[in-house]
Amino acid sequence: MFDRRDVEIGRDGVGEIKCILHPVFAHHRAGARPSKNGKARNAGLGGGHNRVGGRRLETIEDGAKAPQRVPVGVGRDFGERRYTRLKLFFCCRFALVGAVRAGRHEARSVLNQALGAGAFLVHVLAKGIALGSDGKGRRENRNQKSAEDEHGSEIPICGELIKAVSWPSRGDSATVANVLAALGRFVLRPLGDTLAALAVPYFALKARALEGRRGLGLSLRVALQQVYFTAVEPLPVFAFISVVVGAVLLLIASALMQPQGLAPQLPALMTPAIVREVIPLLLGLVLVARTGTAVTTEIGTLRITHELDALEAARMNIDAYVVLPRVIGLTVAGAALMVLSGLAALVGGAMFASLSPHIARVVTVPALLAQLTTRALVTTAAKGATFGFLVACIACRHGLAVKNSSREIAVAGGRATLQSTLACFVVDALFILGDLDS
Amino acid sequence: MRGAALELQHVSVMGDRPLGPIDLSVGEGDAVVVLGLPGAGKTSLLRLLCGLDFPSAGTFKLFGGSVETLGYFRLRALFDRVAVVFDRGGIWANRTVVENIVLPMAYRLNRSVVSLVTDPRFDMLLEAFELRQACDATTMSLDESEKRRILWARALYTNPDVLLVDEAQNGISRAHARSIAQLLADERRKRNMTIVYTDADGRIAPFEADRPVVMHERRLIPGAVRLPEASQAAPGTVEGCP
Repeated sequence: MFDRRDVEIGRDGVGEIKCILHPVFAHHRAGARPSKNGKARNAGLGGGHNRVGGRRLETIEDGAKAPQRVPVGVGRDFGERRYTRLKLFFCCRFALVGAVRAGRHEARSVLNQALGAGAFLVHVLAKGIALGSDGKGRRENRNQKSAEDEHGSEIPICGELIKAVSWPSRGDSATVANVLAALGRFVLRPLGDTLAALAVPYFALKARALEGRRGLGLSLRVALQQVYFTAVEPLPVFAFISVVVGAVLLLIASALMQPQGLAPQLPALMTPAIVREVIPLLLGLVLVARTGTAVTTEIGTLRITHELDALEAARMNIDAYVVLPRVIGLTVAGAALMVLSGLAALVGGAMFASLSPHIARVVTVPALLAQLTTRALVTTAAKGATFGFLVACIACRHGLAVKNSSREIAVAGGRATLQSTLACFVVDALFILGDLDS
Repeated sequence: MRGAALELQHVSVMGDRPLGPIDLSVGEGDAVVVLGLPGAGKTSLLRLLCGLDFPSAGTFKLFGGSVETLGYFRLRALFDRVAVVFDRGGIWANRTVVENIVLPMAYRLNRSVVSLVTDPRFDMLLEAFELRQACDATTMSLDESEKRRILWARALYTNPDVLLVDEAQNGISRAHARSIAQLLADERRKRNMTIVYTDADGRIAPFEADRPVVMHERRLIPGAVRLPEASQAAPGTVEGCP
């Protein structure tokens, strides 16, 4: 039913709908359903009439004078189409504005807007599909309360949550469409952010190409410092973690497989598992927590203390001098770190585990190393390099997004950590799928 | 005949620090002081002049080259001739005083910091700004006056043709102001350096300007020569303004 605020009572006592609601949602609340010729069937309002506050509400079916009085004469289909067209219009507008900005060397904004437009399109499609599949139940007569109850029963737990976070949410209940749309937003936003982060190395490489030899030595020095900070300085801690993890995994595997008579298979199973799978993912997460956060915080701090402004004012290209060295440094350091840590986990883990009486006799350092193939090491290095690359890109992007408040640094750090973690898991899954295929 | 080093025609800037529209022309070798109350847009004007902000509308010419139309390399070559002394920030923390002064030139010339330390100009600047004692210290341990002098030394070490100084009187003692005035007079005599500096009231600037311009509410007031006392000024009024 319409609320009182939706309806303005005319002088002759006939209600006039003010169309406060968006057309898409108006039909949800009114329960109206248009016919194909554009007239509102208004099935839920009792033969084309409704009473608000004891007064009769006239609708489009009431005769010739009604059309001037009922601006809500939009059916669900028309409203939905118009809504979709509006969204498409804004998508196109974003793309056009982005293209204009591209001419002004603001390609970062272009990419962000293109991603936004893409997300918008997917949002529209998801919503359209959901509404199309959800139409049958809407034709039934029902008032708002019963409709909400029904939705509540469809989505008993997360209905309110989705309702709170979905866009647009004003006056709308937790429909399947909104659930899909909200899910789409949850997936697309970090995905879009991650893709936008991949633009970082492009701009950094472009800047380096434009700068030529200018500042090359200083940039290399920054890259080496990044390698030192990422891989050399924390190497003892990383090695310790690797040894402990390697030993624990070997002991667990030994305890599980030895009673089954599978002990001879232990080296062949555990060597690739430790070197290629467990250590890269584990240390990738440590890399995210330590180096990724540090890079985001550092660049964010450089921004709010105006140090980046000083670099720019001195015509030192930030992409070439600040971003690219960090991306290169983290990529190289990630690869080296994973290989060294994998070897440490294998060798140190076997030595450490051999102290235990429960370890199988076949688990020795030579036996484990014999199962170590070049391909496993290359995969480990590739994983490490990819993790480092992604962590650097995401961290730099969020660090550079800081404007002028120290609070933004904390927010940027949190976002960067979350996205880097997500990226690491996705990349690891892709590597595993690639291995399975080959 | 002297050309214009900086020329702004109806330039406005949109965004976080809106500005303008502004018309301003500064000839080569001129010294111009930009007067204005806090928040009048003086720093935003300097950010525009040093290339940190980009004009949204109008024409900005630097040594005759239109900033809006030039490509990356010509733009970089033009702005290499501009140096700026910031009022706040601008010091690279965790770096030594030497690195803070020399780094921009080391970047441009693709040379190491150590190789530039033997430059006689670097020695002269250390002496002029009394930074020799602190040159190996990191900037974390310096006071505000020393940091300000580092910014002056860094700007002058790049041999700029245009020097932009934000709040010129800040952090500079009378003794240092005299030495800076002497140094700038030498630079202007030798290289016809253009100077644009901002000042809250223009009374304690370290050196004399050829002419003042007045900013108010993020615009230049044409014909205005000085600001009234802030306490007596009615909103939106500037002395000398027609």
